[in-house]
Amino acid sequence: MRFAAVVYTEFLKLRRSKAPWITLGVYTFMVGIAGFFMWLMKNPELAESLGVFGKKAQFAFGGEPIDWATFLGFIAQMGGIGGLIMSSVIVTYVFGREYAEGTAKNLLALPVARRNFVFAKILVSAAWFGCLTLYMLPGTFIVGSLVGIGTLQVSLFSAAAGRLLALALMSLCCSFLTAWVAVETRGYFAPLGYSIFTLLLAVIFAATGWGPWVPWSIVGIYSGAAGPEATLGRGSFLVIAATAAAGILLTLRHEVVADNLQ
Amino acid sequence: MTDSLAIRARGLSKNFGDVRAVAGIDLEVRRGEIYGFLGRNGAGKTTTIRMLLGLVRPSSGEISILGSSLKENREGILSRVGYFVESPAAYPNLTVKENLDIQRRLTGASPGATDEVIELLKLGEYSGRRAGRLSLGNKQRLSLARALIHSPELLILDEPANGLDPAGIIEIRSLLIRLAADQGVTIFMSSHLLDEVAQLADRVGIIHEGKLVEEVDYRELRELGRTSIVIVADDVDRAEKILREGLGYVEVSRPDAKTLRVSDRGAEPAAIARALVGAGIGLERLAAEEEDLERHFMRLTGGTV
Repeated sequence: MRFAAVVYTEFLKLRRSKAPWITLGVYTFMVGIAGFFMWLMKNPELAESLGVFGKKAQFAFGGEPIDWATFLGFIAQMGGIGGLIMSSVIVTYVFGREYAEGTAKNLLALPVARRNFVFAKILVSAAWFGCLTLYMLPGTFIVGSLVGIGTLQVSLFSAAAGRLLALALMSLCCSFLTAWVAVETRGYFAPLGYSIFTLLLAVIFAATGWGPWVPWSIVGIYSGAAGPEATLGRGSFLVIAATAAAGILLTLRHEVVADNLQ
Repeated sequence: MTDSLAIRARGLSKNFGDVRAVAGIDLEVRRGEIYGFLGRNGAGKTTTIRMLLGLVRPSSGEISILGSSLKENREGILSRVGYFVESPAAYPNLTVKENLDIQRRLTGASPGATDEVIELLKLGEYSGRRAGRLSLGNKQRLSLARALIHSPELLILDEPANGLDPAGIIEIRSLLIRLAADQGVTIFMSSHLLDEVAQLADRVGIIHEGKLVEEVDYRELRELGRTSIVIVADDVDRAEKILREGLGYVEVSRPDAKTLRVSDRGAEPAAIARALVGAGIGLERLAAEEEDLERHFMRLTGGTV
């Protein structure tokens, strides 16, 4: 009963915030920029005249054929790396704002089991991030169609959609540790710094061959950012699941047990 | 016995590393009374309040609120407690009404409770305004409205008059007196405004360096009319020596370089005058002053008036 009230209040807080609109703008930009690069690759003479933009587009697609498979692959990479950042930003906002705005002390002295707040915030973060990911799907289709890549096969699109949703889930699993950093450090800055640090870790471990055992590298590998030859085993998915469990348990432990000294 | 108490704390302590913020407090607040909790900055007031609300875990000791152990029945107890901790805080993007509605839902209060507290705290003209755009005084009112929305039996308030203008302070004072008198609400409030506590509280607890140094029935304090003797002399060092060694007074303080204050019960101005003048000490002033809460507080916490 009270959990429903907690979820309602979490959505109300979100509805009145500008943050969801900002993240929507970022995802629109991401899909738009991918489409723009595709358009440049389709028009090499224009890319040549644009100079730096053209080179970036060539770098992004690296001589791949200009078709839906390439475009969807690029979107998946953006969804993977961008998703890691975005999911961390979202949980940082949802969990960290209570401390940044000084409301955590009010929340934690309410006659409601504190775990309810943690689970409600996870639910809201998942819904927010899920909506952004779902928004990418028609966005990708519209942008790809406008660029005129060609006819899209349903099977190709549904496979890409499945991959994107799986990437979103994996990114979200990784982000729960960011939620813990946010509540432990009581604000925004440390968790955002931590997110950047994990991205650096992802790159370093992927380069040294340990990527399949490092959660943030796993997301990058699954997105295809590490190339088609990089593969993941069952153990990698267990690492992701363990990361999610660790993040949730640590966040719960802090909210339920730790002193609130805000 | 326990049932007549709204708050009962035994041996309450809190350590933060090597720092002992609260050191073995025993506290009893009777139902229906207004209890003022006084202390200097860093004395341990807010840590005590946080422990009473379950926001901070005691290092040792037990807390019982409204007859139940806080450790065993946190949620049940908090559904009967209204609170306000330190600075006022609200969701800045939400309106006053939305902030209160969140509180109403989470405390299980009735649907009409939001409008009732808006009226009670005179927040009507601001109900549609975002909390982030309120003045400090109105944020304080909003915090008090949050504390009252579920008609609590016990109010735990940390500096409730902070940020209010004089008219607001009077309004809130009247409101708290009404709540205690008409509805039997117990009020435990900390404040640095001694005058405010003096006008409101039935009893006053003074905390200093983490210890509850005294609990005073404030009416008793007023009735006691305890006096202290203030002496301005040309040789305070010698005068102090005579007061301590010659007359045997113990509570002798030095508020400033030229002044001595004797707070021992039974100290006699005439005897002091005789002893000091007899010793050739020049007296600029010798007067008996009734001790009010402010002087009492300062004397207990080692300050000067």
